Amino acid sequence: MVFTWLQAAILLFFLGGILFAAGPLVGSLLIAPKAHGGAMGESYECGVPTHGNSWIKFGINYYFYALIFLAFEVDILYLFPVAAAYASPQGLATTFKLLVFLAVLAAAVVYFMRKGVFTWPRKIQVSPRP
Amino acid sequence: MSIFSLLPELWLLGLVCALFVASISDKKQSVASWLPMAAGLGVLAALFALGERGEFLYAAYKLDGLSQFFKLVIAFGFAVVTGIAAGNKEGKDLTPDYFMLLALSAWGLMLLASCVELITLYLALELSSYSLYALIPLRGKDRRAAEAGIKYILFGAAVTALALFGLSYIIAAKHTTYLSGLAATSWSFADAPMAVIGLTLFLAGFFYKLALFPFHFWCPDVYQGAKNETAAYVATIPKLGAVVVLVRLAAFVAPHLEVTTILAILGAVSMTAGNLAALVQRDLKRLLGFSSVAHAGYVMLGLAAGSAAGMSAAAFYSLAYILMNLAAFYVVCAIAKNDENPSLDDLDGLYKRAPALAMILAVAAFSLVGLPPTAGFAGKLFLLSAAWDQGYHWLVIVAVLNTAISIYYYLGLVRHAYTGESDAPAIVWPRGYLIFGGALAVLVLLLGILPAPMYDLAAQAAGQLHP
Repeated sequence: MVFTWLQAAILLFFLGGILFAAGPLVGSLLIAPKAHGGAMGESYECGVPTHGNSWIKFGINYYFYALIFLAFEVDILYLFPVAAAYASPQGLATTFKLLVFLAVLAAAVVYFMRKGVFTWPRKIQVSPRP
Repeated sequence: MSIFSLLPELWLLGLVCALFVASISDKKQSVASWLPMAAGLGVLAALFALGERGEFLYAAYKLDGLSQFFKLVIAFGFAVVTGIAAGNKEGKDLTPDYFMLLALSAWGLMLLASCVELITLYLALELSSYSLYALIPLRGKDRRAAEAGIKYILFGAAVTALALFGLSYIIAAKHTTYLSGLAATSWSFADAPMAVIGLTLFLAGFFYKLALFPFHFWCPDVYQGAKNETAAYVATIPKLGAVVVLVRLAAFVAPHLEVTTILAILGAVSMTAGNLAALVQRDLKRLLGFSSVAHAGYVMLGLAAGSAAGMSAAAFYSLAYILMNLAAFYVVCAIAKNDENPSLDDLDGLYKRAPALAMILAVAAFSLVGLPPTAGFAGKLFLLSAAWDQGYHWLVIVAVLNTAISIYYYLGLVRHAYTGESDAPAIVWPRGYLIFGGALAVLVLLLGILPAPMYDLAAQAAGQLHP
């Protein structure tokens, strides 16, 4: 079989990817010290000893921020085709269309602000299971 | 063709903005004082715009007879739902936000009526659906409403994803998304297999909104779990959006093609499944949910017929359907205590406790069965004759048998209301609210006795699509 350089490059990249992932795994199997028992079975919490349960209640405000971020992120995605399609200056009408789109998004932000989503509560209650 | 051609949509958009301002303002004043009146003005706006024709937005948005007819019906349905909701004085959940979401959903459906290009159609569908996704769980702290919301959102999201997938097949096969371009090509399975599969998947999205078998499983659970007023909206107005799109899409498939046969079979199974399941229901809204599934099957009779008569029958029947369903849900909302779900036993003794409500319920029940002189009879007559003329004899026989089966549970409502005995106290409603309900019942009877004006409007609308 005769390979082109492109096929050889793809093959090499594939091999490189496998080695990149498998190398450290195999390396730690061979070189790392073996330890069992003790604190090895616990969840990792940056080296600090864990306390309480991992299934705890956390403040719902994190959820709001994540949700709103996701929604507006997708709206920003819509601006990419606008930038691509209107590469050259288009005049007032097109700018107005874009401003209407942004105005609706701004209205959504105003709605969230008035409903108190952006006010972070004074104290987030983190209640571990007794 | 000025900006005033778009008056119905613009008026409803103005309502949405006013409700938005009310929802973010500090004054906790109920919008029930002005909203039904404003929605009524929207119906007048739609009446004036009935004759408007034109195309906007690169011919993706078209005003023709069908779109203006459905915008009028949507505006009317929205006005009636706001009237029903405004009567509920203790409704804590009937905040301006609630009405804003209702108005947004209705606005999306108005846009849906006018879209003649598949991607714009999909966008308008999503606009109306998202507002409903947010609306259905709004019921105090009720778990059933949250469950209904999850079911609606999950099923809805999955089906619209399928619809988008079908859309991609249509684009790949036909290289255009404008309905006028698609209508000119062949839709038999031999000529365009990928496009026919794509169209079936795309239609699935609209079958979901119409609650046609096998996309109907959300219907009874959502009606039962949502607030009574929300159920009144979900039962009626989104079906109009589904019917108008199905009329547009069915206009370019000829009768007895594979796609039309699928429509006919789904209609027959939907009718039977809905009617048989409704026979054992005790909760009123759940019963009306299964009846919606059956009525979706009846509408399919007109769409499967595929002729101009079939399309006009489907459009007329959707008008009759929302009228009789709104009358039924009006009674459901009126007899509900503290936002609870009324059951068949709550109807007992209604002829003594609230004779006006019993009368309205009786008219609605007779119309849902399809007995003369009600609107339901006129609608079924047009549907059955359209389907028979196109050779769907088996479908007409199934429809008639199903009508006979449905007599049991619809007239069971009347039986409980008029022959049931109960010691519960009389239900008191202000005169104006009862007159509003009476007007609904009168409209149902009027549409049945004199169907010609509205049927001519529907025929003219559908005739432009399918000359």
